[in-house]
Amino acid sequence: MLNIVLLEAHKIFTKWRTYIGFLTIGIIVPLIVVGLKLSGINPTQNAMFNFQEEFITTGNLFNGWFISHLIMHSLFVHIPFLITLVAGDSLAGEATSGTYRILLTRPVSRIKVLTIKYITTIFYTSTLVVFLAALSIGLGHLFFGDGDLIIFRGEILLLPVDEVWWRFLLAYLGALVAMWTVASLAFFFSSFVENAIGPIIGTMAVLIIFLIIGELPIEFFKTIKPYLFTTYSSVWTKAFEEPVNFNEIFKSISYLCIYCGGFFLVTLYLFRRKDILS
Amino acid sequence: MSEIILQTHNLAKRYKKRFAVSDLNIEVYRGDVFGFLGPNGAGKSTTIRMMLSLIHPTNGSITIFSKRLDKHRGEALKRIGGLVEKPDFYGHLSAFDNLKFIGSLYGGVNKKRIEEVLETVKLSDRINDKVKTYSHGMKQRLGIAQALLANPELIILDEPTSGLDPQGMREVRELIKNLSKEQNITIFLSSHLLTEVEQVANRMAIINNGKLVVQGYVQELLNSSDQYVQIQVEPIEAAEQIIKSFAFIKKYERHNNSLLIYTSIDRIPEINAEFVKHNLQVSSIIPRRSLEDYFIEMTERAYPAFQNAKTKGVGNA
Ligand SMILES: Nc1ncnc2c1ncn2[C@@H]1O[C@H](COP(=O)(O)OP(=O)(O)OP(=O)(O)O)[C@@H](O)[C@H]1O
Ligand SMILES: [Mg+2]
Repeated sequence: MLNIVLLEAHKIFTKWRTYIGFLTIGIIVPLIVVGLKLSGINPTQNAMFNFQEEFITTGNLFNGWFISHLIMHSLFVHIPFLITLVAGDSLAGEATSGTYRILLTRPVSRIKVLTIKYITTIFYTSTLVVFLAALSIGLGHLFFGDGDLIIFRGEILLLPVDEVWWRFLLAYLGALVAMWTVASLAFFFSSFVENAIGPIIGTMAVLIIFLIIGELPIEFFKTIKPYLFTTYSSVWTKAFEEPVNFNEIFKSISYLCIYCGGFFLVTLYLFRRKDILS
Repeated sequence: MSEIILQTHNLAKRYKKRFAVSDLNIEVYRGDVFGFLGPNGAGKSTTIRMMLSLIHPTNGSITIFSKRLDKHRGEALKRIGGLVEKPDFYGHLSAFDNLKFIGSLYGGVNKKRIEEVLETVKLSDRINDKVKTYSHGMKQRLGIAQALLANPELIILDEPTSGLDPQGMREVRELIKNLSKEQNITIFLSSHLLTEVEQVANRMAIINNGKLVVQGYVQELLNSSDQYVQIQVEPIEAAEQIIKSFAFIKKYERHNNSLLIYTSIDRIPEINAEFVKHNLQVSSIIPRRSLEDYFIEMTERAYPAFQNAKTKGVGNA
């Protein structure tokens, strides 16, 4: 089984499509970091001018952590698209290339094939999120150094430097599971069609619709909001609250995991008996 | 009688409202090269898709190695190699990597075996090239290589010579014969060419419109079907008189400006000599078999549009 997973991963990671996500992040993140450095503008300057005088803070407040948080905030809505590019292709791509016919005529059950594909999809998703984390935190620190994390959300919050690292770890864990859910949905759509475009657009459409439903102050929408997985995708922001509500975070992550499992099981159930006509 | 290793029982497949295959009963014995013959759209690929578990029968069942395929899928497919429809592979991977991946689905095959099967189909020199750089003929051969990869007892090939040039076709047919003879592999192959089946297969089934037309030993089927000789000769009335004088000719027909004489081929010299003796002009002698005619007719019926066009063309001329 491990052997097949590795070869499946080899299959994905030798495809050009797989690198679009890495390339995009690999261009945007340095662009943001270097752009901020060169422009010399300090977005926190005005707000913090007095703040920094009145409190004792460690290092510069316009530091690597601040940049990483900024990047996470602004890129988080775009990453799903990069994930669907590969997750949506996971099964549909086999149909497009006609390779279902060589994949599913072997003494390996469809359940096993799907499990292997799912594992590799999740693996890809994870590498992309870890890449984003490593690049933004790494470059942020390289250019702007270490220090306390300042957060503006209604109020100003100052998180001490010795807490920040585990908060980021927790945030990225939440973000990771949220992205797994997106990948699982794209994977689910991918099992129906013979082309990756449908799953990509379908997943993005669902995300947008769910996010809008979640935001609208309509009574009916409020009742269904707890059942939308998007309600829990912003779990990562909770890692930067004070105090951290671990209970809430754990609950959200659990729900997201249930959605992942749910999408996977439904895909498995429907795919088991599907006629392969591609 | 030798062991039946592949059998369909009233096999049927419906797409929406139409049956692509219905009530199909065929038997493949161990050691057979079994030709599955039918015109385009006859249901060959549909049948093979069911045999390789890509689609599920609407009715009926398949037994492979005496066990029902739907109940013992993994066990059966372990002993089968196959390819249905076009030979498609992962184009961005090399032939070697494609086979390594396919091998992993059988629990892994070693490097030596991969090289061996590529050698068998003469692709050794392209082993590390990406498959998307392969020609159709090369992919077709890679298709056979992957079918052989896990040392199967039975291989199922869907029109393995389609799209090949005459030389390529001959090579593939030779290869199939060798695999059967030297490695004792049972081979089930579909084709839309009777001559091809005649050349490689010992048994065959003809399928049309999803239904079995006939099944049996190739030689028996060909021999049992009426043999006749089509002779184009002038003047045809005189020729008819001569034909009547031959006692061994029980039956003949006039067909436009030629005679269809029901007799075995070894009588041709005798008949021809008689025609020449009477100064008749013989312009062609074609030995024919009704099975072949029958199959050609069936194939033509699969293309009514083409037939119409042809008729029209003649009319205009
Ligand atoms: N996906 C599908 N949906 C609906 N009908 C289909 C589908 N695939 C095949 N058919 C129909 O089933 C019948 C049999 O098709 P099949 O591909 O099995 O024929 P074939 O004998 O392999 O023909 P060919 O020699 O052209 O490959 C045809 O009438 C075809 O139109
Ligand atoms: Mg076909």
